[in-house]
Amino acid sequence: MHTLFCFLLLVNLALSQQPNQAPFKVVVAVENSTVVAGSDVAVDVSLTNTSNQDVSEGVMYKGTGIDSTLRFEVRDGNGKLVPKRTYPHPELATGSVKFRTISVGETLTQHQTVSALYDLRKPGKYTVQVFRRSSANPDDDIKSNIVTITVTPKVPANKNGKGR
Amino acid sequence: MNRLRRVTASTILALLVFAIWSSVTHSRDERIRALMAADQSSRGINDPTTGLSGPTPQGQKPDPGRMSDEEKLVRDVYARLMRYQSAAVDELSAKTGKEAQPEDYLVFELRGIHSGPIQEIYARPLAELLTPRDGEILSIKPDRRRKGKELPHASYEAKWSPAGSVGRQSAGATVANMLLQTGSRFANVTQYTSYQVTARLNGKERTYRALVLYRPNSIGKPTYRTEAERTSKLAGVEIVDPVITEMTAVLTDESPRIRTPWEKYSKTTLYQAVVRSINTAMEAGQPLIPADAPIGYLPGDDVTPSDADTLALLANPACRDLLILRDGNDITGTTQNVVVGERISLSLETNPEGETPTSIQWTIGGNRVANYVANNSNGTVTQLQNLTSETLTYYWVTSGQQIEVSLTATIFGTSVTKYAYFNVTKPDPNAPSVTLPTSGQLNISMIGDCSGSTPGPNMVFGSISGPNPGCTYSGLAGIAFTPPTTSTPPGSFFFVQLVTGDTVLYSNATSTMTCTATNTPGLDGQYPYQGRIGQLVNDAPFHPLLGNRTSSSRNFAATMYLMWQSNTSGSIPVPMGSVAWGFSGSTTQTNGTWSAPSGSGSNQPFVAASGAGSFPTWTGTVVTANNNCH
Repeated sequence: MHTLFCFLLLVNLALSQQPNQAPFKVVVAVENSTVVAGSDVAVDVSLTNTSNQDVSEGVMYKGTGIDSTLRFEVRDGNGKLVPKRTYPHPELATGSVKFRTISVGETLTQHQTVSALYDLRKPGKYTVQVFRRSSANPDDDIKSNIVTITVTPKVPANKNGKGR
Repeated sequence: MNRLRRVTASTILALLVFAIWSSVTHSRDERIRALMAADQSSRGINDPTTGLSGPTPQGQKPDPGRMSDEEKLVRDVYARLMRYQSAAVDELSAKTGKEAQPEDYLVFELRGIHSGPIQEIYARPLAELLTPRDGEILSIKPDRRRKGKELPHASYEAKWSPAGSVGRQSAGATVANMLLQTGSRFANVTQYTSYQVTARLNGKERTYRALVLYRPNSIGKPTYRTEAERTSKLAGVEIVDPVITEMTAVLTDESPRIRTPWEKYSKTTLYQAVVRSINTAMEAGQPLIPADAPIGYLPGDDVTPSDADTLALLANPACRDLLILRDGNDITGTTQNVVVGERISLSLETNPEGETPTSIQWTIGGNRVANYVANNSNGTVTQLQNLTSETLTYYWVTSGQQIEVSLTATIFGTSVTKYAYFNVTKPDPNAPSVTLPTSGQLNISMIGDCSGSTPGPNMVFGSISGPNPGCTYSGLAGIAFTPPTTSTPPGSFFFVQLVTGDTVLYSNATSTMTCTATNTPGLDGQYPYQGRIGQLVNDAPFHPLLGNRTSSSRNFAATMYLMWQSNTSGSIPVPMGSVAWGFSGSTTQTNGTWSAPSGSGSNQPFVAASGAGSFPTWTGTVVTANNNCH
């Protein structure tokens, strides 16, 4: 009897240790992996509802057009985090909230301009990873894959004012 | 070493034989002809797969350099039926626009071909040489077409059908029994050819044995020089095929094959040349299928048009033609059913071909555009302007019945005008439902972002609170749009929103700061709006209220477009219509508290798309008001 009790306890502990299934799968993709310095750098972020229920939520989009439920981590070629861009008068920033329902199994793909949030004007390689926020604790965020974007130097204009 | 060479040579030979057999399955006409040529040149004595043996007819030994005359006759008639049937399949495909599949083509494999004097099989059980007619058989039905009194062109439709009730071969019956039972029909048969047929069509296959029976003077190398001699020789040949009873009729058929599409072919110089060559041969009494013709040959195969054919064609006004083609298919004088946004690719063709038309002028009725390209950066309409080129690609924006397309061009020195007609449909219903969840009311909501800052007051079109864990928000949007639900015609609805104006004012006792959105009309967010296809979308714009200001107001205007894109290949999205909406309101601050906003939001009625001007167009996203304050 004692052995059976220990066995059931172990099974129960093992089950409780299993991580909960993340409600979303996050995939990031780049349209253009090489962009010229100064151009917009955008990624397509796909959220797939992997839970067993529809997810209805309101999402804020401020001036940068970034989905408030997403957090971006952009690193340069040395692996250092790239600082966020600053804009004048952030206290005046308008925005909007849009409500959506992502059905079970559905994938929503959003075009997100990363360069509106981070300064990617310097030529070099950058990696972008996206996190879907889950709670107040960033450790709970759901990670995406990592994509690499190369920013190439801007071609100087020739004497006629045209690029080569 | 020699042994190795022998083994290698044998392997290569086996592979070659296999390749020849396997290529039989390629049944398009050109493939059949190529196969027959290769088959004829490569095949030597009687087929090695035969289980029968014995001397060749009339005691001749087989010539290792070529196949026997009897084998050639058998292969020839089945090859010709394959070509006639291919013509029928291709014509049906051209008529329906449905691409033919490999299994639509009738394919034969012939094996175990053996010929000899009839006496040698008198005592053989009939079932060994002739499969009983039962199960499924192949019904073949000729389709003959002609323009005048000339020899008709032909194709043969083939399909599997039950054999039905037929007299059964009695068990143990011999060939002699069969010949006796048929009375005078086979009374003077002197020779025979026995062979195995494998017929494949529409995924079904049947393997059986058949016979060719020869009466006197009908066997041996064909040496006829006149049509009368050929007819006389073939009159003594009877093909006893238990699955295709019409094989003897196919043997005597001398029709050229129908070429696809018939309506177009029958007005070409090639048709003229085929008819001319047949008429010339018939008038001279020459055989239409020469004695030395290759296997599978049909009259007209080796004909090429001459200048005389072109002149003859031009002499007939009905043959000087201008055709309107859509995706390469003749649609002249027809009515086509299409949907809005479907790609329409037109071109022209003259008959006889090769004439360069001049003074081309297309006239396209209805509302149409040359193109519409939309993405997160741009939405651009290209008007249909060049209507004088040989090819034309465009899209209809609105629906209509019997929309006329005309083409005028000068060919052979004459101005000719041709017409085609289009019924253009669009989804129905095609208007969104629009709701104002807060009845148009503006509210003051305490909203924060996810940077950890303290939530502050904002004037919202709608009613919002948050952030919640995960940086989501709760409440009601100011306006919501639901697309129609219909799957006919197949396609998808989605929305595109352009911000057409946005001005925010902040005032205190001494000054007013004005912030105005720029790059209007600009794309709001992304294309399609909210990244959603076929789903409800909404909006709840807000602007922050500053503690050092005593009042704030906002005028916001946007237009939501309902788009629809057909599932047809190469389609563009087209507008179904649009809804203009906006809000205007103001609030004042007293001792840190902002008053309930005055003003409200509303929407205009849905305006159905009326043409190229109804497309949403933009260059980049709207630049929000806070970037332009003064």
